[in-house]
Amino acid sequence: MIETDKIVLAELASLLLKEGQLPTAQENELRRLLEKYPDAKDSLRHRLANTDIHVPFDLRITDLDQEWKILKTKYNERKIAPNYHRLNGNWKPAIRIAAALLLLFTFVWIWKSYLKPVNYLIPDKVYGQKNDVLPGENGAILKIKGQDEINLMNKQVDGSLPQGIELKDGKLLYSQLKTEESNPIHTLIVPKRSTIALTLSDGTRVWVNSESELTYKANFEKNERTVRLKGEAYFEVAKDTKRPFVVEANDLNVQAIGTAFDINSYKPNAKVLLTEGRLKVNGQENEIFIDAGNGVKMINSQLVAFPIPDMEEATAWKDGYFYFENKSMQQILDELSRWYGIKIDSNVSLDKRRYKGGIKRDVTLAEVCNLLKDLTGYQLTIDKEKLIVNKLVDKK
Amino acid sequence: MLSIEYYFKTYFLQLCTFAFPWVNSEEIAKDIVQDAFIVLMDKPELLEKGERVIKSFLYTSVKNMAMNAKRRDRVFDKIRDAITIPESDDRNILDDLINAELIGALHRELDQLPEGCQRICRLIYLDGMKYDEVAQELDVSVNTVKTQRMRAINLLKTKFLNLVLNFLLF
Repeated sequence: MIETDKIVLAELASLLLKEGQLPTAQENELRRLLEKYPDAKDSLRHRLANTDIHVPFDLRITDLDQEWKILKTKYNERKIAPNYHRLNGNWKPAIRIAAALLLLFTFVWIWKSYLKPVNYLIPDKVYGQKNDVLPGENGAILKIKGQDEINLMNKQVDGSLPQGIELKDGKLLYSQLKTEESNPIHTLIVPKRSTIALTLSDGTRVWVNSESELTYKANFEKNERTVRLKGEAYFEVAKDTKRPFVVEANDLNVQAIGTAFDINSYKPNAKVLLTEGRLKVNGQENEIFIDAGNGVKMINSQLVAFPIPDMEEATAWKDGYFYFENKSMQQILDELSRWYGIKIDSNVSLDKRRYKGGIKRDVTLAEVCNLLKDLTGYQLTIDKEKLIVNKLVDKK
Repeated sequence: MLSIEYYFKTYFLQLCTFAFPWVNSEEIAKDIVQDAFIVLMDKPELLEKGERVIKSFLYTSVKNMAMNAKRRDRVFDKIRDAITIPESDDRNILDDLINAELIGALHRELDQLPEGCQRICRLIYLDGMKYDEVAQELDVSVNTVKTQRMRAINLLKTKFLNLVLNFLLF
Protein backbone atom coordinates (compact mmCIF):
# COMPACT_ATOMS: atom_id res chain seq x y z
CA MET A 1 0.00 0.00 0.00
CA ILE A 2 1.23 3.51 -0.75
CA GLU A 3 1.03 5.33 2.59
CA THR A 4 -1.54 8.11 2.80
CA ASP A 5 1.26 10.34 4.07
CA LYS A 6 2.97 10.05 0.72
CA ILE A 7 -0.28 11.05 -0.96
CA VAL A 8 -0.58 14.08 1.32
CA LEU A 9 3.01 14.97 0.53
CA ALA A 10 2.33 14.78 -3.19
CA GLU A 11 -0.83 16.87 -2.82
CA LEU A 12 0.98 19.59 -0.88
CA ALA A 13 3.95 19.56 -3.21
CA SER A 14 1.72 19.93 -6.25
CA LEU A 15 -0.14 22.79 -4.55
CA LEU A 16 3.14 24.51 -3.80
CA LEU A 17 4.29 24.07 -7.39
CA LYS A 18 1.02 25.34 -8.75
CA GLU A 19 0.46 28.33 -6.48
CA GLY A 20 4.06 29.22 -5.65
CA GLN A 21 3.40 29.29 -1.91
CA LEU A 22 1.45 27.52 0.80
CA PRO A 23 -0.52 28.70 3.85
CA THR A 24 1.63 28.32 6.98
CA ALA A 25 -0.14 25.29 8.39
CA GLN A 26 0.22 23.40 5.16
CA GLU A 27 3.79 24.54 4.73
CA ASN A 28 4.64 23.10 8.15
CA GLU A 29 2.92 19.88 7.24
CA LEU A 30 4.94 19.69 4.03
CA ARG A 31 8.19 20.33 5.93
CA ARG A 32 7.35 17.53 8.35
CA LEU A 33 6.60 15.14 5.51
CA LEU A 34 9.77 16.07 3.65
CA GLU A 35 11.74 15.14 6.78
CA LYS A 36 9.92 11.84 6.79
CA TYR A 37 10.53 11.22 3.10
CA PRO A 38 13.77 13.03 2.27
CA ASP A 39 13.80 11.50 -1.21
CA ALA A 40 11.02 13.87 -2.17
CA LYS A 41 13.23 16.90 -1.47
CA ASP A 42 15.28 16.49 -4.61
CA SER A 43 12.26 15.90 -6.71
CA LEU A 44 10.54 19.01 -5.36
CA ARG A 45 13.67 21.14 -5.67
CA HIS A 46 14.11 20.04 -9.24
CA ARG A 47 10.51 20.77 -10.08
CA LEU A 48 10.59 24.21 -8.45
CA ALA A 49 13.60 25.13 -10.55
CA ASN A 50 12.21 23.69 -13.72
CA THR A 51 8.69 24.26 -14.96
CA ASP A 52 8.50 21.28 -17.29
CA ILE A 53 5.64 18.91 -16.70
CA HIS A 54 5.61 15.44 -18.09
CA VAL A 55 2.25 14.96 -19.68
CA PRO A 56 2.24 11.40 -20.96
CA PHE A 57 -0.41 11.81 -23.64
CA ASP A 58 -2.98 14.33 -24.64
CA LEU A 59 -5.08 14.26 -21.51
CA ARG A 60 -7.43 17.03 -22.48
CA ILE A 61 -9.03 15.17 -25.33
CA THR A 62 -9.84 12.34 -22.95
CA ASP A 63 -13.59 12.42 -22.51
CA LEU A 64 -14.26 11.63 -18.87
CA ASP A 65 -17.97 11.03 -19.38
CA GLN A 66 -17.13 8.54 -22.09
CA GLU A 67 -14.53 6.81 -19.91
CA TRP A 68 -17.05 6.60 -17.09
CA LYS A 69 -19.54 4.91 -19.43
CA ILE A 70 -16.88 2.42 -20.51
CA LEU A 71 -16.14 1.62 -16.89
CA LYS A 72 -19.79 1.00 -16.08
CA THR A 73 -20.18 -1.27 -19.10
CA LYS A 74 -17.05 -3.19 -18.18
CA TYR A 75 -18.27 -3.60 -14.62
CA ASN A 76 -21.72 -4.80 -15.64
CA GLU A 77 -20.41 -7.21 -18.25
CA ARG A 78 -18.15 -8.73 -15.69
CA LYS A 79 -20.97 -9.12 -13.21
CA ILE A 80 -23.33 -10.96 -15.51
CA ALA A 81 -20.66 -13.19 -17.01
CA PRO A 82 -21.09 -16.29 -14.81
CA ASN A 83 -24.49 -17.55 -15.82
CA TYR A 84 -25.38 -20.93 -14.34
CA HIS A 85 -28.74 -22.52 -14.86
CA ARG A 86 -30.28 -24.25 -11.93
CA LEU A 87 -31.40 -27.78 -12.61
CA ASN A 88 -34.87 -28.85 -11.65
CA GLY A 89 -35.86 -32.26 -10.31
CA ASN A 90 -36.63 -33.83 -13.69
CA TRP A 91 -32.99 -33.78 -14.61
CA LYS A 92 -31.86 -36.05 -11.82
CA PRO A 93 -32.26 -39.43 -13.61
CA ALA A 94 -30.55 -38.00 -16.65
CA ILE A 95 -27.63 -36.93 -14.53
CA ARG A 96 -27.30 -40.43 -13.11
CA ILE A 97 -27.18 -41.92 -16.58
CA ALA A 98 -24.72 -39.30 -17.66
CA ALA A 99 -22.53 -40.03 -14.63
CA ALA A 100 -22.61 -43.76 -15.36
CA LEU A 101 -21.67 -43.18 -18.97
CA LEU A 102 -18.93 -40.84 -17.92
CA LEU A 103 -17.53 -43.48 -15.60
CA LEU A 104 -17.61 -46.02 -18.39
CA PHE A 105 -15.89 -43.65 -20.77
CA THR A 106 -13.29 -42.93 -18.15
CA PHE A 107 -12.49 -46.63 -17.85
CA VAL A 108 -12.28 -47.01 -21.60
CA TRP A 109 -10.07 -43.95 -21.78
CA ILE A 110 -7.72 -45.10 -19.04
CA TRP A 111 -7.51 -48.52 -20.66
CA LYS A 112 -6.75 -46.97 -24.02
CA SER A 113 -4.11 -44.70 -22.60
CA TYR A 114 -2.41 -47.77 -21.13
CA LEU A 115 -2.40 -49.33 -24.55
CA LYS A 116 -0.77 -46.37 -26.17
CA PRO A 117 1.99 -45.10 -23.96
CA VAL A 118 3.33 -41.71 -24.89
CA ASN A 119 7.02 -41.04 -24.66
CA TYR A 120 7.00 -37.27 -24.63
CA LEU A 121 5.88 -36.77 -21.04
CA ILE A 122 8.73 -36.11 -18.65
CA PRO A 123 8.90 -35.11 -14.98
CA ASP A 124 9.12 -31.39 -14.25
CA LYS A 125 11.57 -30.22 -11.61
CA VAL A 126 11.78 -26.56 -12.47
CA TYR A 127 8.32 -25.04 -12.76
CA GLY A 128 6.35 -27.04 -10.19
CA GLN A 129 4.06 -28.72 -12.70
CA LYS A 130 2.90 -32.32 -12.24
CA ASN A 131 4.76 -33.26 -15.38
CA ASP A 132 6.27 -31.62 -18.41
CA VAL A 133 5.76 -32.17 -22.12
CA LEU A 134 8.59 -32.29 -24.63
CA PRO A 135 8.28 -30.08 -27.69
CA GLY A 136 7.43 -31.49 -31.10
CA GLU A 137 10.05 -32.57 -33.61
CA ASN A 138 10.83 -32.85 -37.28
CA GLY A 139 8.77 -35.57 -38.83
CA ALA A 140 5.84 -36.58 -41.00
CA ILE A 141 4.21 -39.53 -42.64
CA LEU A 142 4.53 -39.88 -46.39
CA LYS A 143 1.69 -41.60 -48.18
CA ILE A 144 2.23 -42.57 -51.78
CA LYS A 145 -0.84 -43.77 -53.58
CA GLY A 146 -0.87 -47.56 -53.74
CA GLN A 147 2.02 -48.04 -51.30
CA ASP A 148 2.63 -48.44 -47.58
CA GLU A 149 2.92 -45.35 -45.44
CA ILE A 150 6.46 -44.26 -44.65
CA ASN A 151 7.12 -42.76 -41.25
CA LEU A 152 9.83 -40.17 -41.75
CA MET A 153 10.55 -40.12 -38.01
CA ASN A 154 12.26 -43.51 -38.31
CA LYS A 155 15.99 -43.27 -38.46
CA GLN A 156 16.59 -45.83 -41.19
CA VAL A 157 14.02 -44.53 -43.58
CA ASP A 158 16.15 -44.01 -46.65
CA GLY A 159 15.80 -47.54 -47.94
CA SER A 160 12.04 -47.33 -48.07
CA LEU A 161 11.91 -44.03 -49.95
CA PRO A 162 11.25 -44.23 -53.71
CA GLN A 163 13.97 -43.28 -56.10
CA GLY A 164 14.49 -39.53 -56.46
CA ILE A 165 13.45 -38.73 -52.91
CA GLU A 166 15.81 -38.42 -50.00
CA LEU A 167 15.66 -37.34 -46.38
CA LYS A 168 18.54 -35.07 -45.51
CA ASP A 169 18.92 -33.33 -42.14
CA GLY A 170 15.24 -33.96 -41.49
CA LYS A 171 14.26 -32.33 -44.77
CA LEU A 172 12.56 -34.13 -47.59
CA LEU A 173 14.11 -33.52 -51.03
CA TYR A 174 12.47 -34.36 -54.35
CA SER A 175 14.55 -34.29 -57.46
CA GLN A 176 13.09 -33.98 -60.92
CA LEU A 177 12.81 -37.47 -62.35
CA LYS A 178 13.44 -38.01 -66.02
CA THR A 179 11.17 -41.00 -66.42
CA GLU A 180 7.54 -40.11 -66.60
CA GLU A 181 6.10 -43.57 -66.56
CA SER A 182 4.77 -43.32 -63.01
CA ASN A 183 3.95 -40.09 -61.30
CA PRO A 184 1.90 -40.98 -58.27
CA ILE A 185 0.20 -38.58 -55.92
CA HIS A 186 2.07 -38.02 -52.67
CA THR A 187 0.42 -36.92 -49.45
CA LEU A 188 2.58 -35.65 -46.66
CA ILE A 189 0.75 -35.98 -43.36
CA VAL A 190 2.23 -33.88 -40.59
CA PRO A 191 0.61 -34.87 -37.29
CA LYS A 192 0.50 -32.89 -34.08
CA ARG A 193 3.92 -32.51 -32.44
CA SER A 194 5.59 -32.50 -35.86
CA THR A 195 6.74 -30.21 -38.60
CA ILE A 196 8.69 -30.82 -41.75
CA ALA A 197 10.45 -28.89 -44.48
CA LEU A 198 10.62 -30.18 -48.01
CA THR A 199 11.83 -29.20 -51.45
CA LEU A 200 9.48 -30.15 -54.26
CA SER A 201 10.60 -31.40 -57.66
CA ASP A 202 10.53 -27.88 -59.13
CA GLY A 203 12.76 -26.50 -56.38
CA THR A 204 9.94 -24.86 -54.41
CA ARG A 205 10.59 -25.02 -50.68
CA VAL A 206 7.72 -25.73 -48.33
CA TRP A 207 7.53 -25.75 -44.55
CA VAL A 208 4.52 -27.67 -43.30
CA ASN A 209 3.27 -26.94 -39.79
CA SER A 210 1.79 -29.39 -37.28
CA GLU A 211 -1.55 -31.03 -37.94
CA SER A 212 -1.42 -30.29 -41.64
CA GLU A 213 -1.46 -32.17 -44.91
CA LEU A 214 0.14 -31.37 -48.24
CA THR A 215 -0.81 -33.26 -51.42
CA TYR A 216 1.18 -33.00 -54.66
CA LYS A 217 2.57 -35.01 -57.52
CA ALA A 218 6.12 -36.29 -57.19
CA ASN A 219 6.78 -34.66 -60.55
CA PHE A 220 4.79 -31.62 -61.52
CA GLU A 221 3.06 -31.55 -64.90
CA LYS A 222 4.51 -29.62 -67.82
CA ASN A 223 2.02 -26.80 -67.64
CA GLU A 224 1.10 -26.47 -63.99
CA ARG A 225 2.27 -26.95 -60.44
CA THR A 226 -0.64 -27.62 -58.14
CA VAL A 227 -0.59 -28.65 -54.48
CA ARG A 228 -3.41 -29.00 -51.99
CA LEU A 229 -3.04 -27.89 -48.38
CA LYS A 230 -4.91 -28.55 -45.17
CA GLY A 231 -3.60 -26.65 -42.16
CA GLU A 232 -0.64 -24.32 -42.40
CA ALA A 233 2.40 -24.13 -44.67
CA TYR A 234 4.91 -21.55 -45.79
CA PHE A 235 5.93 -21.61 -49.45
CA GLU A 236 9.02 -20.23 -51.18
CA VAL A 237 8.03 -20.76 -54.76
CA ALA A 238 10.74 -21.43 -57.34
CA LYS A 239 10.36 -19.04 -60.22
CA ASP A 240 8.87 -20.58 -63.36
CA THR A 241 6.86 -18.16 -65.50
CA LYS A 242 5.56 -20.96 -67.71
CA ARG A 243 4.03 -22.96 -64.89
CA PRO A 244 2.17 -21.00 -62.24
CA PHE A 245 2.36 -22.51 -58.77
CA VAL A 246 -1.12 -23.08 -57.36
CA VAL A 247 -2.08 -23.86 -53.79
CA GLU A 248 -5.60 -24.97 -53.05
CA ALA A 249 -6.66 -24.53 -49.43
CA ASN A 250 -10.29 -24.65 -48.30
CA ASP A 251 -12.13 -22.26 -50.60
CA LEU A 252 -9.00 -20.45 -51.65
CA ASN A 253 -6.95 -20.88 -54.74
CA VAL A 254 -3.61 -19.10 -54.58
CA GLN A 255 -1.55 -18.57 -57.71
CA ALA A 256 2.08 -17.61 -57.64
CA ILE A 257 4.94 -17.44 -60.07
CA GLY A 258 7.90 -16.86 -57.79
CA THR A 259 6.97 -15.64 -54.33
CA ALA A 260 7.00 -16.50 -50.65
CA PHE A 261 3.86 -16.73 -48.57
CA ASP A 262 2.18 -18.41 -45.65
CA ILE A 263 -1.23 -20.02 -45.83
CA ASN A 264 -3.11 -20.80 -42.66
CA SER A 265 -6.22 -22.89 -43.22
CA TYR A 266 -6.78 -24.48 -39.83
CA LYS A 267 -10.03 -22.56 -39.62
CA PRO A 268 -12.63 -22.72 -42.42
CA ASN A 269 -11.66 -19.19 -43.40
CA ALA A 270 -8.14 -19.55 -44.70
CA LYS A 271 -5.67 -16.69 -44.49
CA VAL A 272 -2.76 -15.91 -46.80
CA LEU A 273 0.20 -13.76 -45.77
CA LEU A 274 2.50 -12.70 -48.58
CA THR A 275 6.07 -11.88 -47.63
CA GLU A 276 7.68 -11.62 -51.08
CA GLY A 277 6.52 -10.98 -54.62
CA ARG A 278 2.98 -10.91 -55.91
CA LEU A 279 0.03 -13.27 -55.65
CA LYS A 280 -3.33 -13.87 -57.23
CA VAL A 281 -5.91 -15.29 -54.87
CA ASN A 282 -9.23 -16.69 -56.01
CA GLY A 283 -12.08 -17.11 -53.57
CA GLN A 284 -15.64 -18.29 -53.95
CA GLU A 285 -16.87 -15.01 -55.32
CA ASN A 286 -13.98 -12.75 -56.21
CA GLU A 287 -10.31 -12.71 -57.03
CA ILE A 288 -7.72 -10.38 -55.69
CA PHE A 289 -4.08 -9.45 -56.39
CA ILE A 290 -1.75 -8.59 -53.54
CA ASP A 291 1.83 -7.41 -53.22
CA ALA A 292 4.39 -8.37 -50.59
CA GLY A 293 3.52 -7.15 -47.11
CA ASN A 294 -0.16 -7.80 -47.58
CA GLY A 295 -2.50 -10.60 -46.69
CA VAL A 296 -5.83 -11.92 -47.83
CA LYS A 297 -8.61 -13.37 -45.77
CA MET A 298 -12.16 -14.41 -46.43
CA ILE A 299 -14.87 -12.32 -44.80
CA ASN A 300 -18.46 -13.34 -45.54
CA SER A 301 -17.24 -15.36 -48.52
CA GLN A 302 -15.57 -12.27 -49.98
CA LEU A 303 -11.80 -12.04 -50.23
CA VAL A 304 -10.41 -8.99 -48.50
CA ALA A 305 -6.83 -7.75 -48.67
CA PHE A 306 -5.14 -6.20 -45.65
CA PRO A 307 -1.63 -4.97 -44.82
CA ILE A 308 0.34 -7.34 -42.56
CA PRO A 309 1.27 -5.48 -39.38
CA ASP A 310 4.21 -7.75 -38.70
CA MET A 311 5.81 -10.14 -41.18
CA GLU A 312 7.07 -12.37 -38.43
CA GLU A 313 3.60 -13.74 -37.98
CA ALA A 314 4.06 -15.49 -41.32
CA THR A 315 7.58 -16.77 -40.81
CA ALA A 316 8.24 -17.13 -37.07
CA TRP A 317 6.87 -20.67 -36.73
CA LYS A 318 9.01 -22.08 -39.53
CA ASP A 319 12.07 -20.46 -37.96
CA GLY A 320 11.25 -22.26 -34.73
CA TYR A 321 9.43 -19.59 -32.75
CA PHE A 322 6.04 -19.21 -31.21
CA TYR A 323 4.91 -15.76 -32.08
CA PHE A 324 2.13 -14.39 -29.90
CA GLU A 325 2.10 -10.86 -31.21
CA ASN A 326 -1.46 -9.69 -31.58
CA LYS A 327 -2.89 -13.14 -30.93
CA SER A 328 -5.74 -13.99 -28.61
CA MET A 329 -5.46 -16.57 -25.83
CA GLN A 330 -7.55 -19.00 -27.90
CA GLN A 331 -5.15 -18.75 -30.85
CA ILE A 332 -2.15 -19.21 -28.55
CA LEU A 333 -3.70 -22.30 -26.95
CA ASP A 334 -4.54 -23.77 -30.38
CA GLU A 335 -0.89 -23.45 -31.35
CA LEU A 336 0.29 -25.10 -28.14
CA SER A 337 -2.16 -27.93 -28.62
CA ARG A 338 -0.79 -28.61 -32.09
CA TRP A 339 2.88 -28.43 -31.15
CA TYR A 340 2.81 -30.28 -27.83
CA GLY A 341 0.04 -32.70 -28.80
CA ILE A 342 -1.96 -31.77 -25.74
CA LYS A 343 -5.63 -31.27 -25.06
CA ILE A 344 -6.78 -27.91 -23.77
CA ASP A 345 -9.18 -27.94 -20.86
CA SER A 346 -10.38 -24.43 -20.17
CA ASN A 347 -12.40 -23.73 -17.05
CA VAL A 348 -12.87 -20.10 -17.88
CA SER A 349 -14.17 -18.19 -20.83
CA LEU A 350 -11.13 -16.74 -22.57
CA ASP A 351 -11.13 -13.02 -23.04
CA LYS A 352 -10.44 -11.54 -26.44
CA ARG A 353 -7.40 -9.55 -25.35
CA ARG A 354 -4.45 -9.75 -27.63
CA TYR A 355 -0.95 -10.37 -26.37
CA LYS A 356 2.54 -9.84 -27.52
CA GLY A 357 5.50 -12.02 -26.91
CA GLY A 358 7.22 -15.08 -28.20
CA ILE A 359 9.37 -18.03 -27.28
CA LYS A 360 11.37 -20.67 -29.08
CA ARG A 361 9.42 -23.75 -30.01
CA ASP A 362 12.12 -26.16 -28.84
CA VAL A 363 11.44 -25.58 -25.14
CA THR A 364 9.23 -27.77 -23.00
CA LEU A 365 5.59 -26.97 -22.35
CA ALA A 366 6.19 -26.04 -18.71
CA GLU A 367 8.55 -23.28 -19.79
CA VAL A 368 6.00 -21.90 -22.23
CA CYS A 369 3.34 -22.04 -19.51
CA ASN A 370 5.60 -20.14 -17.19
CA LEU A 371 5.99 -17.40 -19.77
CA LEU A 372 2.29 -17.33 -20.57
CA LYS A 373 1.38 -17.04 -16.92
CA ASP A 374 3.33 -13.80 -16.78
CA LEU A 375 2.17 -12.66 -20.18
CA THR A 376 -1.53 -13.35 -20.01
CA GLY A 377 -2.54 -13.71 -16.38
CA TYR A 378 -3.93 -17.20 -16.93
CA GLN A 379 -2.87 -20.07 -14.71
CA LEU A 380 -1.80 -23.00 -16.89
CA THR A 381 -1.53 -26.40 -15.22
CA ILE A 382 -0.17 -29.45 -16.99
CA ASP A 383 -1.81 -32.75 -16.13
CA LYS A 384 -0.27 -35.51 -18.27
CA GLU A 385 -1.36 -34.64 -21.81
CA LYS A 386 -3.84 -32.04 -20.71
CA LEU A 387 -3.38 -28.33 -20.22
CA ILE A 388 -5.81 -26.84 -17.74
CA VAL A 389 -6.54 -23.15 -18.03
CA ASN A 390 -7.68 -21.09 -15.07
CA LYS A 391 -7.75 -17.45 -14.16
CA LEU A 392 -4.71 -16.53 -12.15
CA VAL A 393 -5.74 -15.69 -8.61
CA ASP A 394 -4.21 -12.42 -7.48
CA LYS A 395 -1.95 -12.75 -4.50
CA LYS A 396 -2.81 -9.98 -2.13
CA MET B 1 -19.69 10.36 1.31
CA LEU B 2 -18.47 10.93 -2.22
CA SER B 3 -19.53 8.68 -5.07
CA ILE B 4 -17.35 6.44 -7.21
CA GLU B 5 -18.28 8.64 -10.13
CA TYR B 6 -16.79 11.64 -8.34
CA TYR B 7 -13.54 9.79 -7.70
CA PHE B 8 -13.44 8.54 -11.25
CA LYS B 9 -13.94 11.90 -12.87
CA THR B 10 -11.61 13.66 -10.46
CA TYR B 11 -8.73 11.22 -10.49
CA PHE B 12 -8.92 9.31 -13.76
CA LEU B 13 -6.46 11.51 -15.62
CA GLN B 14 -3.88 11.76 -12.90
CA LEU B 15 -3.99 8.02 -12.32
CA CYS B 16 -3.39 7.52 -16.04
CA THR B 17 -0.46 9.92 -15.75
CA PHE B 18 0.82 7.86 -12.85
CA ALA B 19 0.50 4.54 -14.71
CA PHE B 20 1.94 5.73 -17.98
CA PRO B 21 5.71 5.67 -17.29
CA TRP B 22 5.51 1.95 -16.53
CA VAL B 23 3.55 0.84 -19.54
CA ASN B 24 4.32 3.51 -22.13
CA SER B 25 0.94 3.15 -23.72
CA GLU B 26 -2.08 5.39 -23.41
CA GLU B 27 -4.45 2.48 -23.97
CA ILE B 28 -2.85 0.18 -21.43
CA ALA B 29 -2.63 3.01 -18.88
CA LYS B 30 -6.34 3.74 -19.28
CA ASP B 31 -7.21 0.04 -19.06
CA ILE B 32 -5.25 -0.29 -15.86
CA VAL B 33 -6.98 2.67 -14.26
CA GLN B 34 -10.37 1.32 -15.34
CA ASP B 35 -9.47 -2.02 -13.77
CA ALA B 36 -8.43 -0.33 -10.54
CA PHE B 37 -11.84 1.33 -10.34
CA ILE B 38 -13.56 -1.98 -10.97
CA VAL B 39 -11.74 -3.36 -7.94
CA LEU B 40 -12.86 -0.31 -5.97
CA MET B 41 -16.46 -0.84 -7.04
CA ASP B 42 -16.31 -4.27 -5.45
CA LYS B 43 -15.30 -2.72 -2.15
CA PRO B 44 -18.02 -0.17 -1.43
CA GLU B 45 -17.06 -0.20 2.26
CA LEU B 46 -13.86 1.64 1.31
CA LEU B 47 -15.90 4.67 0.28
CA GLU B 48 -16.63 5.42 3.92
CA LYS B 49 -12.95 5.68 4.77
CA GLY B 50 -12.48 9.00 3.11
CA GLU B 51 -10.75 10.48 0.12
CA ARG B 52 -7.13 9.93 1.19
CA VAL B 53 -7.59 6.23 1.80
CA ILE B 54 -9.34 5.82 -1.51
CA LYS B 55 -6.61 7.71 -3.30
CA SER B 56 -4.03 5.55 -1.61
CA PHE B 57 -5.98 2.45 -2.63
CA LEU B 58 -6.28 3.64 -6.24
CA TYR B 59 -2.64 4.67 -6.59
CA THR B 60 -1.51 1.39 -5.07
CA SER B 61 -3.72 -0.73 -7.32
CA VAL B 62 -2.61 1.18 -10.38
CA LYS B 63 1.02 0.85 -9.37
CA ASN B 64 0.76 -2.91 -8.87
CA MET B 65 -1.12 -3.49 -12.09
CA ALA B 66 1.25 -1.27 -14.04
CA MET B 67 4.25 -3.08 -12.60
CA ASN B 68 2.76 -6.42 -13.57
CA ALA B 69 2.12 -5.16 -17.05
CA LYS B 70 5.71 -4.00 -17.27
CA ARG B 71 7.00 -7.29 -15.95
CA ARG B 72 5.12 -9.07 -18.72
CA ASP B 73 6.72 -6.81 -21.26
CA ARG B 74 10.12 -7.54 -19.83
CA VAL B 75 9.57 -11.25 -20.13
CA PHE B 76 8.85 -10.60 -23.76
CA ASP B 77 12.00 -8.54 -24.09
CA LYS B 78 14.08 -11.24 -22.54
CA ILE B 79 12.89 -13.72 -25.07
CA ARG B 80 13.57 -11.43 -27.91
CA ASP B 81 16.91 -10.98 -26.17
CA ALA B 82 18.12 -8.30 -28.57
CA ILE B 83 16.26 -5.56 -26.75
CA THR B 84 17.94 -4.20 -23.66
CA ILE B 85 16.18 -4.83 -20.40
CA PRO B 86 15.29 -1.69 -18.46
CA GLU B 87 17.60 -1.15 -15.52
CA SER B 88 15.16 -1.26 -12.66
CA ASP B 89 11.56 -1.49 -11.60
CA ASP B 90 11.98 1.12 -8.94
CA ARG B 91 10.56 4.25 -10.29
CA ASN B 92 10.65 7.20 -7.94
CA ILE B 93 7.12 6.74 -6.65
CA LEU B 94 7.08 10.05 -4.80
CA ASP B 95 8.13 11.97 -7.87
CA ASP B 96 5.54 10.15 -9.95
CA LEU B 97 2.91 10.94 -7.33
CA ILE B 98 3.80 14.63 -7.30
CA ASN B 99 3.69 14.74 -11.08
CA ALA B 100 0.32 13.02 -11.15
CA GLU B 101 -1.15 15.28 -8.47
CA LEU B 102 0.12 18.36 -10.25
CA ILE B 103 -1.26 17.39 -13.61
CA GLY B 104 -4.56 16.44 -12.01
CA ALA B 105 -4.77 19.78 -10.22
CA LEU B 106 -3.88 21.81 -13.31
CA HIS B 107 -6.35 19.92 -15.34
CA ARG B 108 -9.18 20.46 -12.88
CA GLU B 109 -8.29 24.13 -12.75
CA LEU B 110 -8.40 24.50 -16.52
CA ASP B 111 -11.72 22.73 -16.53
CA GLN B 112 -13.07 25.38 -14.19
CA LEU B 113 -12.49 28.14 -16.70
CA PRO B 114 -15.63 29.63 -18.24
CA GLU B 115 -16.57 27.91 -21.48
CA GLY B 116 -15.67 30.87 -23.70
CA CYS B 117 -12.20 31.29 -22.21
CA GLN B 118 -11.58 27.60 -22.44
CA ARG B 119 -12.52 27.35 -26.06
CA ILE B 120 -10.40 30.28 -27.04
CA CYS B 121 -7.42 29.04 -25.03
CA ARG B 122 -7.75 25.62 -26.58
CA LEU B 123 -7.77 26.99 -30.09
CA ILE B 124 -4.78 29.19 -29.38
CA TYR B 125 -2.68 26.77 -27.39
CA LEU B 126 -3.78 23.39 -28.58
CA ASP B 127 -4.53 23.99 -32.21
CA GLY B 128 -1.86 26.64 -32.57
CA MET B 129 -4.24 29.12 -34.19
CA LYS B 130 -3.45 32.79 -34.59
CA TYR B 131 -5.72 35.31 -32.87
CA ASP B 132 -7.39 36.31 -36.13
CA GLU B 133 -7.95 32.68 -37.06
CA VAL B 134 -9.59 32.03 -33.73
CA ALA B 135 -11.72 35.12 -34.17
CA GLN B 136 -12.83 33.89 -37.56
CA GLU B 137 -13.49 30.37 -36.32
CA LEU B 138 -15.66 31.56 -33.43
CA ASP B 139 -17.11 34.51 -35.30
CA VAL B 140 -15.98 37.06 -32.69
CA SER B 141 -13.65 40.04 -32.89
CA VAL B 142 -9.89 39.76 -32.45
CA ASN B 143 -10.22 41.95 -29.36
CA THR B 144 -12.63 39.51 -27.75
CA VAL B 145 -10.10 36.75 -28.31
CA LYS B 146 -7.39 38.81 -26.65
CA THR B 147 -9.52 39.76 -23.65
CA GLN B 148 -10.79 36.22 -23.15
CA ARG B 149 -7.22 34.96 -23.21
CA MET B 150 -6.18 37.52 -20.61
CA ARG B 151 -9.21 36.66 -18.53
CA ALA B 152 -8.27 33.00 -18.60
CA ILE B 153 -4.76 33.77 -17.50
CA ASN B 154 -6.02 35.96 -14.68
CA LEU B 155 -8.55 33.39 -13.59
CA LEU B 156 -5.95 30.71 -13.32
CA LYS B 157 -4.88 31.03 -9.73
CA THR B 158 -1.44 29.71 -10.39
CA LYS B 159 1.60 31.86 -9.90
CA PHE B 160 3.49 29.58 -12.15
CA LEU B 161 1.99 30.77 -15.36
CA ASN B 162 4.74 29.11 -17.38
CA LEU B 163 3.71 25.85 -15.94
CA VAL B 164 0.21 26.22 -17.21
CA LEU B 165 1.27 27.54 -20.55
CA ASN B 166 3.69 24.65 -20.98
CA PHE B 167 0.93 22.36 -20.01
CA LEU B 168 -1.42 23.85 -22.54
CA LEU B 169 1.20 23.91 -25.21
CA PHE B 170 2.11 20.32 -24.84
